[in-house]
Formats: sequence, C-alpha cells, structure tokens
Amino acid sequence: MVLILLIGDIHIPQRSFGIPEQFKKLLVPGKIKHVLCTGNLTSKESLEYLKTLASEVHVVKGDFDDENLNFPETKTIQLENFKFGLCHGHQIVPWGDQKSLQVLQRKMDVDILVTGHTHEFTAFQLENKLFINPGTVTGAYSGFNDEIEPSFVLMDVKGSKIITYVYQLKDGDVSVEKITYTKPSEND
Amino acid sequence: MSKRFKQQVKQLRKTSQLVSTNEQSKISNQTKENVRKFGFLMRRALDQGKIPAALKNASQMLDGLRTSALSPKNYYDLYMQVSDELRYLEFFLQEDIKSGKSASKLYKEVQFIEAIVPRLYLMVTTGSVLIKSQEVETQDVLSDLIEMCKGVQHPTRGLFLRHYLSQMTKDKLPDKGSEYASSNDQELLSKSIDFTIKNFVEMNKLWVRIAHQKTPGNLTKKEKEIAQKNLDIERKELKILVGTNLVRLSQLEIVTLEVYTERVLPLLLQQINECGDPIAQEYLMEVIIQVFSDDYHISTLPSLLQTISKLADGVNIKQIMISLINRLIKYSESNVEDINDKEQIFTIFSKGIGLITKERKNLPVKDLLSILNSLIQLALQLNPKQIDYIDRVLRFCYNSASESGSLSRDIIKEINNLLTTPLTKYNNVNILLEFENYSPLIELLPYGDRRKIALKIIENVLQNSTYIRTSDKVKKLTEYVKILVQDETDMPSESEEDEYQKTLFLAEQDAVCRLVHLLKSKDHIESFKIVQVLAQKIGNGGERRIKHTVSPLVFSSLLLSFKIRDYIEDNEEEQYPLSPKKIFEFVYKIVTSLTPLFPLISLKLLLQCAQASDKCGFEAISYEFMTKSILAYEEHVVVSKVRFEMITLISSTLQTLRVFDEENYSTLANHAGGHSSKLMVVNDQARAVYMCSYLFWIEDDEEEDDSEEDEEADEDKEKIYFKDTKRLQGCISRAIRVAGSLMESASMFQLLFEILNVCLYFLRYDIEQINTDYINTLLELIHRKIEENNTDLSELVEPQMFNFYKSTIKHIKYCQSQDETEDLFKEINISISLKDLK
Repeated sequence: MVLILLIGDIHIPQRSFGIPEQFKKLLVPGKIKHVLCTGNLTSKESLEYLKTLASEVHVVKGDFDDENLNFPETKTIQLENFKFGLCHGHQIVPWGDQKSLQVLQRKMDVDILVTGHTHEFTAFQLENKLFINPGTVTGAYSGFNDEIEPSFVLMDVKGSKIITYVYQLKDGDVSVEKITYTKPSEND
Repeated sequence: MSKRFKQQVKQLRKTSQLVSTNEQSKISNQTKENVRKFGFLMRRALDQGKIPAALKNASQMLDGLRTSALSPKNYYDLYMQVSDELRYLEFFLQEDIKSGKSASKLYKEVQFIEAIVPRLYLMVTTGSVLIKSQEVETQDVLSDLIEMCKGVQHPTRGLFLRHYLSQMTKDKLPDKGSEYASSNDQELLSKSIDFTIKNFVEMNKLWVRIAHQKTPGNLTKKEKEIAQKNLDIERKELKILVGTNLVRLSQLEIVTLEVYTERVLPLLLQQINECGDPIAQEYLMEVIIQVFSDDYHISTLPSLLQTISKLADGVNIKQIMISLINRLIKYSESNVEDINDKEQIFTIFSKGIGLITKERKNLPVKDLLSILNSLIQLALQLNPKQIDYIDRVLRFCYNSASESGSLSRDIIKEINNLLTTPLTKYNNVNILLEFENYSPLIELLPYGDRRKIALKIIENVLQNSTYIRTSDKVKKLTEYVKILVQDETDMPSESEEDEYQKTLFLAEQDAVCRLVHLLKSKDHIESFKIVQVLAQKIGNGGERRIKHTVSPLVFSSLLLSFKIRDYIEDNEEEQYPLSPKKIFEFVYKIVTSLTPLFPLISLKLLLQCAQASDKCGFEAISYEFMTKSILAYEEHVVVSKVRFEMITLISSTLQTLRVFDEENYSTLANHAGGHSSKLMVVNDQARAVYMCSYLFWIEDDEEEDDSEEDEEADEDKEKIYFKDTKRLQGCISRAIRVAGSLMESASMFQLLFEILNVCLYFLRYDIEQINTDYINTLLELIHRKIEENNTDLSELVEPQMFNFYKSTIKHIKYCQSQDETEDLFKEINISISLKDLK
C-alpha cells in the first residue's frame, strides 16, 4: 500500500498567502510516500513545504514557475502496478480538454495522467485510463475559471487498485469524496 | 586557649578590626576547637544532671562568639556550630522543666553571667524554655529579650544574636489561634508585630554596619579594596537573616490588609528609607514584593512607588519595578475579575514612574524602557482594550529614547521588546494600527532592526490570517513595514550584500507578496482604494522589489474585477460607481509599464488580464491586452526556447477568449500563427503551428449546455463562434510539411504521431478538409517514411513513441467500434499501420 498526494497550482505568494489551515492539519508528515505536484508552486518555500510531507517529491514545471528551479515539463513515475504521468497542462491545447489530455496520456504511455492548470478538480476515465486534476490547493486565482474551491487529492494505491480521496474546501469546511479505480487487465 | 592567643584576641576586640585571612582561619580553628571542647563538657554535665555546671560550660563555649576578628562568613560557621550545641541544651532544659523545675528561676540564674554575649545567648535559650512553660505572659518575655539584646551593638555579633532570638521565638509569637496567646485581644497580639519589626529594624541596622567594619590596617590600597569587596559579598550572603523577619511578618495571621497598610508597611518603608544602604534597600524591597500578597501590593502601590523613587543611587530600580509589575501580571492572569480599579492602577503607575524619572535623573534609559515594557505587559494583561494608555506609554518611551541621543545596543533591545510585546500579545495587527506612536518607535531603530520588526509584523499578519480591510489601515501598515517596501536612505547597497542578505531579501519580498492577499475589504470600492494605495507604494519600490511585488498586486486586482462584475450582476446595480473596466485600466498602466523591465512577467500578466477582461465582457480592453502581449513578444523575447513557450502560451490563451468579433479575433489569430511559423527551431515550429490549428475551430463553451433554452441560445450566437477550416487545414498541412523535412527520424515520427492525433481530434467535428482521406494519406506518409529507412519502426523510435503510435491506432480501432464515432472513423485504413507496429 502506498499513499500518494496529488497537489498543485499553489501560486504562493503571487496569488495566495498560504495553504488553508484546514488542509495543513490534514497534511501531516510521515504518512505520505510520494508527492506528485502538478507545478506552479511558485516559490522555493512551497517546494520545501512539500519536501516536509514526503521523501519522494515529483514536480513538473508550471507556466509561472521560475526557470531556475529546472523542473521538467513532464515526468513518469511507476508506483505499484501503475504508471503515472505528470504534467502541468498549460502545454496542451485546448486547456483542460479531455481529448487533448487523452493524446498526452498516449504520448506519455501511462495508466494515470495527472495534470493541473485549470484550478478545478476533475477525475474521469476514458478508454480504461484514469485522468485526474487535483485542482489548486490554495484556491488560487484563475482567469478562465472564476469559481474556485481549494482542493487536493490523496491516493491509496494497492496492487492494481486505487482508492482516491478528494479533499475540497467549501465555505470553510473540508469535504471528502471517494472514487475507486481498478486497472483493467492487459488483455482488454 | 594559650595566653598569647587570648591576648591577641583581646587586642583585636579592642580595635574592632578584622584580621588577615590567614590569621582569621587560625583564630577560627582555635575557637571552633574550644566550642567543641566546652560543648562536650556541657553535654556531659547535662547528662549527669549538673545544670549549673552545664550552664557554666555553655557560657565558656559562647565566649567564642565574642570575637571581632572574624569575617561574617567565618563567624557564621562558628555560629552554626554553637547553635547546634545550644539546641541540645534547650532540649535538655525543657525536659528538666517538665519534671517540675521553675523556668523563671533558670531564666534569672543565667542573667548573672558576666560576659554579655554568652549571657544573652543563654537568656534567649532559657527565655524560650520559659515561654514554653507558660509560667509568665509570652509578651513579657519577648519584650524583655528584645530590650536586653540592645546591649550588643557590634554588627556581626549583634546580628547573629538577634538571629538566634528570631529563630528561638519564631514558633512562639502570639498570633490569632496560637497556643502562646493568652487572649485574642488585638492590642496584645499586635505586640508580636512590634517585636518582629523591632528586631527587623535592629538587625537591618547591624547588617548595614557590617559594611563599615575596618579592614586590617597593614594592607596595601589594592588589598584593601579586595578585602572590602569580599566583605560586601559576605555581607550579602547574610541578607537572609534580615529578610527572615519579613517572612515572619507575612506569616502572622494578625497582619491583615488593614494592619499591613497602616502599621507594618509604613515602618518597613521608613527603615528602608532611613538606612540609606543600597544593598539593604534593594534586597528588602525585593523581599517585601515577594513575601506579601498581591492584593496588599495593589492597595499600597502609591507608597511602594514613592519609596522606590527615593531609594539610594546604587539600587537597581529596574529590577525592583519589574518584580513588582511581574507579580501583578501573574496575579491578574488568574484574578483579573477581582481587580476592581484597573484604571486606578495605571494612574498610580504613571504617577509613580513620573516620580521616579523626576527623582532619579541618572536612571539609565534602558532601565526605564525595560520598566515601561513590563508596564505595557501589565496593561495588556489587565485591559488590552486600553489602547490609549498603551499608546501613551509608547509615546513616553519614544520621548525618553529619542532624548538620549545615539542609542546603545541595550536601548535598541528594549525598543525591540516594546514593539514586539503588543504585537505578539494582540496577534492582531489591526489593533496595532490604532497606535499613534508605534511607527515613530520603529523609526528610532537602526536599519537591520527595522527590517526585522517589519518582517515580524508581516509574519504575524500571515500566521493569524489577519485581514486588513480599510485603505487607511493599509496605508498605515505600509508605513510600519515601509523598509521592506521601498529603499531607505541608510540602506546598504546591493553590492555589499552577502548570500544571507540576498536570501533574506527574497524571504522579505515573499512575505510582502503574501501579505497583499490579506489586504482587501468586503466593500469593493474600498478594495479598489486599497489596491491603489498598494500600487503607489509598490510602484516606488524600485525594480528589484517590483519584480516580485507586481504579480500579487495584479492578481489581487483581477480577482477584484470579477467580484465587481458579480456584484453588479447579482444586484442589478447599474448605477454602481465602480466598473471592472476601471480595474482593467488601472492594471493596464501597471503591466504595460513593466514590459521593458521584465518582459516575460509582463507578457504573462498581460495574457492573464486579457482572460479576465474577456470574462467580464470588455472586447476592446481584451484586444488591447492581447496586442500588447504580442508586441512584448515581438520586441523583447529573443531566446529561442522561450519564444516557443511564449508564442504557444499566447495561442492557447487566445483559444480560450470568446469576447471578440470575427475581425479582431482573426487578426490576433493571424499574428499568433505568423509568429509560430517563424520559429527558428524546426521541431518548435511544427509544434507551435499545429497548436494554432485549434484557433480556427472554436465551439462556444456554453452553447451545448444552453441549447434547450432558445432565448439564451440566441444570445450565445452573438458571442464569438469562430471557424475557418481552410486555415485550420493550412496549419496542419504546414506542420506535416515541416515535420517531414526533419533530418532526425525519431523527432520526425514523434511529430507525425502528434499531428495524427490532432487530425483525429478534428475528425469528430466532420470538418470538410480534415476527413478520413486526409488521415489515410498521413498514415501512408508515416508508412512510407518507415520504408524509406529500410528498418522496423521499433528501431527508429524509442519504445515510448512506438507505444504512442500503437495506442493511437488502438484508439482509432476503439472509435471504429463505438456507435457514436463509428461512421466518422470507419473509413480509416489502419491495416498498414498495424503491420508497421508488428
């Protein structure tokens, strides 16, 4: 069993003063094994914070991340029986488009594609692949989506099964939603 | 005792002078030896029931305490030894009395001893036995003893004798309910108080006089100084003997608040005042503060402060004041409701501190500030809402510190404390902003300290998520932290900064940026005022700061534009005095002026502004932002890799905009397409160009959702719904051509696969030009390219790209099998591709 945190579009300090306290209380060090960050951190402090949560922190570059931090555009990570693809998502067009995300999934040759950029949590399956966008953990401003709720995702990966917990902050309260996904066998 | 030694002692006693250390230890050893010897004889006599002989031996033993030669410390050692022996004696005599002997008789007998010191010790011992026997009134014995003790006036000898008296009587003082009180008559009981105070006063006088004992005459000046110093140290060690009397007073039940206020404290303070000795004054004030209860202090504050103001020059007033205030702070932590007249306490303290500064012109400013800091802590504890009072104290601090000229490190430390105390106590900077004298105090500090306190203030706002909601308060806050917002005249130059200072600078700017998001009102007009204040301050921050601070300002403003739009829509307030347009005009100035300095930041912000103004429905403004972003690209972006990133960012932003009419949109799309096709690196060019194809087929996002509602659907038709399939195909064809020209086959195949996917994307829209024939031609092209290389695809590309092609073909197969896509996809011929993928 591996616990994975999907988090991104932090945008501190340009668009937010901090991760909501309600989330900070939930994000305690020691339990999470891997952090998959969709980018736009957009400061060293945010990266340091993620590093306090888990030893393995994977980060890709967002459109507002500093060049000097040298994050890659995409990254693939094998965890248990799943191949994860990580990309911020500003590189695909149209932004957040399911068909275009599918192309990226095929190009990266992954089972699960994790992207950000839209500042809106989404999760869907297409042709047996899983697509997840953990949204923005700070509820940061976005120009094409102006009703933003802070969110992040925890994934419990076990063999070929994934239980996904979506944490969202709505009017000051944290809501949790659970989604289960099982990897189909290769012969499908 | 040898004759010669006796002579020596006699001689010394006459001159009342201390002897050198070596001689002292000789005398001390000799005397102790005698004590042991006569103590032994005394015990033996007692054991044999020979009381007169025992008393004689005791008297001989006590002769040792007659010396003047010993320093207080050596005398103390001797005293301890003697008092052990006397305890034995007392115990034995008591047993004797129980068997029927008369205590009064015993008490009279010892008075015939010739030497005064042994006589008085034995009187105290037998007096104690007498009290216990209750043959006579306790008070009579006590007053007799206290009178007799006056007979010994040598400081060390007198002090220890009285200490012995105090020790022997401590459990026998008549008090409410004690067994030694014959009645509960107030006057009678108060004699215990008189006795203790008298003994205290006398002991204190004697203790003070120890300081004036003469040091040996044959010493050099330096040796004398050392001897005097040692004497002071040893004297300090004896302070507890004097203080014990005060502890005893505090333990007497009869010392009620009224008695304390009217009888006890005035006498104590009088003695403190009269003795004039700094060591004694400092110690005794401390003891009074510590041993008597807090409510007594609250009731007697004026006289305490009055006395403190008149203490001798050498007394550490600061310590005493802080002790007093700290006791009250501690008391008020748990009893704040019990304290009635809080205002009164502050008035008294103000007067008291006024008096102290008037009486003690040489009180160091750092000490004064330290006292005032404690006073602020008390004020915050008793009544944190008393902002005026605390502000006045801050004013007083400011005046005192600024009058003292250049500030010492100690004073700076105190000012830092004065600023931090209310900050951390309130944990709400809004309250801090009500002070008039906070900012002037900051200004007194040197550069480095100003920076630290400014950062502390911002961190406090952030930690507590304190929103600051008016432009006036924001203005004031920017005054408090101005050192982080703009250059100061005493600032060291950037070139002088080391790595640490550079990191610190970034951390500070990070804090300022985060702060911006907490500066907003619920009223949008006020919020606009706030961002205007910020823009003015941030605008004066210099390039190095603006680089960081401009982004939060812009995002904060854009968020505000949405809020205003929603407010107007929700409330149908057509007369609302503020339009999002005002916000866009405001950020336009900021972001465009940024372009020459930081083109990339400016470009990205311009695109953000274009999106926001699009969402608010301002076409001309959105067009202006897009134009400016393309201009910034043209004029300022030179690095090849960055050109690719920026032009694709421009294209994909444009793809999201819906506010333009056909002509404007077309113009912008042309520019994006034109620049894409001019990219130097062929890979980048092909990719940027095929990305542009999405610009020429734009479905209106909302049309599908609202299709059932005719009215809204009609409205939506007015919105841009752009298609130009010819140009769309142009982009794809050009991308294929460019990709096909690549020398490096792995990159070429990757691009062709990507373009194939783009074609599949558009296929579902049944576009005239991008049909199955077009896709089949592309598949054939890919096949031909593989053939040209005379090898398998798996040899030509990485496994990931091989899989990319494989899953794309699989996707086609999938679409061919689905009802809704079957018709569009069925004509695609994947047979050769499947062969290539074998």
